[in-house]
Amino acid sequence: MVKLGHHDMIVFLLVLGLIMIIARLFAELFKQFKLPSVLGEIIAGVILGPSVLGYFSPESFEYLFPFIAHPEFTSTIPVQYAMDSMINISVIMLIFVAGMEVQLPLVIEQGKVALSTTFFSMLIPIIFGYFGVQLFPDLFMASNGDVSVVGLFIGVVLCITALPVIARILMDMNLFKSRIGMTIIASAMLTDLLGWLIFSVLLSAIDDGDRMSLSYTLVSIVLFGGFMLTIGTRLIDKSLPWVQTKFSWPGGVLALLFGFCFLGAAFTESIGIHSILGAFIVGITFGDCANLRDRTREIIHQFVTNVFAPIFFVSIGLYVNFVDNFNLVLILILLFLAYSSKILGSYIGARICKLDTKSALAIGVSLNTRGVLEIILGSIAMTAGLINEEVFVAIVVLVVVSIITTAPMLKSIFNKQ
Amino acid sequence: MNLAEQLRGRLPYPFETIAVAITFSPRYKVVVKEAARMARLYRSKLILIHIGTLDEQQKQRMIRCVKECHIKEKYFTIISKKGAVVNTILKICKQNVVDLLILGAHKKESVLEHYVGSVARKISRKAKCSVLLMPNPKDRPKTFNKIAVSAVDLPKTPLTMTTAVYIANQEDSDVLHVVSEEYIPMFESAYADCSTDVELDNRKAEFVEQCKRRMRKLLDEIPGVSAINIKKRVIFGKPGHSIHVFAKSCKPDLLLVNSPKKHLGLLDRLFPHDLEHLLKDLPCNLLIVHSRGF
Repeated sequence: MVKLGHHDMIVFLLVLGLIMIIARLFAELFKQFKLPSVLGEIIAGVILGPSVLGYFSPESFEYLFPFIAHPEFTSTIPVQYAMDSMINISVIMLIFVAGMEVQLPLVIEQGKVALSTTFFSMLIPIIFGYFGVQLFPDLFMASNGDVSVVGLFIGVVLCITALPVIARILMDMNLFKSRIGMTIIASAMLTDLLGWLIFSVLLSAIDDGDRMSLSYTLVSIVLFGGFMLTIGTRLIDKSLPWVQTKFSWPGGVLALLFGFCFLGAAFTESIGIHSILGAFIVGITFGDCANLRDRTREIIHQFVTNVFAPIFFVSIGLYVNFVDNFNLVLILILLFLAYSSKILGSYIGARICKLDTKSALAIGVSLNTRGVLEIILGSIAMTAGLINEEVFVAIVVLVVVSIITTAPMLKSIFNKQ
Repeated sequence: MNLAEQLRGRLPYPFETIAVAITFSPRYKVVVKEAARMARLYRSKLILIHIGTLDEQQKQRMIRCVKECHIKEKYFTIISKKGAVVNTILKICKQNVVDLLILGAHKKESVLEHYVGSVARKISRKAKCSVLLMPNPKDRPKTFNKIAVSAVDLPKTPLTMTTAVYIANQEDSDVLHVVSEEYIPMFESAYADCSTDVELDNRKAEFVEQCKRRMRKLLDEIPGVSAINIKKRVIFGKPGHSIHVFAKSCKPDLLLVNSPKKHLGLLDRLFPHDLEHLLKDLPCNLLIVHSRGF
């Protein structure tokens, strides 16, 4: 059994402590500039990682992060395992929280407009992503992998939207409860759900070895998702008032919620689909429960986004050299594909439902916002060997650029109006 | 003026014609008594709708029942037709320009009924006139002393609130609770990572103030408001569910809500929203106000 030794324990705790404190400081700094804290956390990772600290002071980097500087040393294996577990748990929790934001009743309520916008805002990016990779295989391909699978993956990356970021922008602009606002939110929710589903199936399709057959996996996930989102939601919603009054609050309720989250993640992993999909579905199940207290949601968000999210986002900068893997051509191509496809797709979808030009454009610009989910998606794809580090860095840059540009673009559309 | 034109421009109030669906169930007499009380108070014409074959004996029973409620024969009509229950009732309501349809309804539906749909619930989802669902009709009907109305931020709400004020005036109610349901999905996640507690509280307080301003503005435009004791409340939660919770704790005699934006189907029951939360478990008498094209 691999165990953390005395020295390993010190390194592990030191790293965790440093990550949390520096991430928080950078998050607070970015907050002053009205930017999401996730950007600050990524920058903190870049500064602590091989891109900055490793370049200017390699000795300090090796001393602080020996398991990253020398992964080949067997002595660093226990810390590598421990860090990997922490990062995986952070990702699962982040995805669980992302699932809690998806409100299927809201999507159903918005009906045709949301469906049409979602359909085209997914279809066009997937087409653009697919053909973009076919056109520039040398830029996008990690190894001798399947060009079609990588193309589809880039398509999925291009179509997912950052729900919390766009929600915040819409709330700040007093547009959240307008028809456009609700259409944007409902479409983004549906896109996330379908995007994760496609991505998970893609991952299970490229995985070989002892994984089960694709058809078995698909049937299992449809049954699991169908059960959880209908009967599961109803059962949990009915029991929540009792749980919230009888169990200690919020501790007891949080333990149950995260317990179910890990069980769902374990289930999907066991049927050959990545654990994130299980966490995401369980998140939707809990998010749909009308009886879940707002305060509980708030505590979960605070807990995950401030404690676990930094571990993941800082680790991105720690493990990837952003300077060496910065490919400007690739970034520009990805930016072009992302902006043109998402805005065009959403615009077409909204116009089909007879929304006026400006509203359709506003929906397109809003849905073009990227965020945490793209980074998680990219990181999982990189771990699975689907993309290389250059593509991952390009995805991170795309996220940063889209977050910075959405609000001004949206403001300019409405000022003109 | 043809029927379509008559219906198109018609406000949900006053209740000139009230209809009540009769099934000869054990509770039918109390439902008729409730309908008769309202017909007398609102000086409305009363229509008793029966779907299926109605023999002379049954007809006489119905007439006797209404007369016991002190309604003269010239003020009520009995309409009996064969056909699919829900559609036939809706057709009769349309043909007779019914303003308010009263139905006795179970407080809760069984799981199967919920997905298949009981008659009362089906009518509530499809009706083109206002529908009053009475889960607990009284043998000695009382006035609606405590009324609550949902002031959710939707285009139909002003008419629903005006109807509530009209009813409160007619019933001489003690209090009218105007309840603004505020639902801001993702509020927590949008502000979770980059706001302090004070900022969050200020943001919420700002929302509450905005809602109260909106309610005040709406109420100022409704005639007859000054005669009523109005209490304004802002509640947070999913629309339909939050007012359901409110109604369960406040226990009003009557709750008014908007009619649904579209025909509600099976998907809406699988992923309940708005009215579906109330139909799942009626907290009190529920009036679904139809704004008829306004």
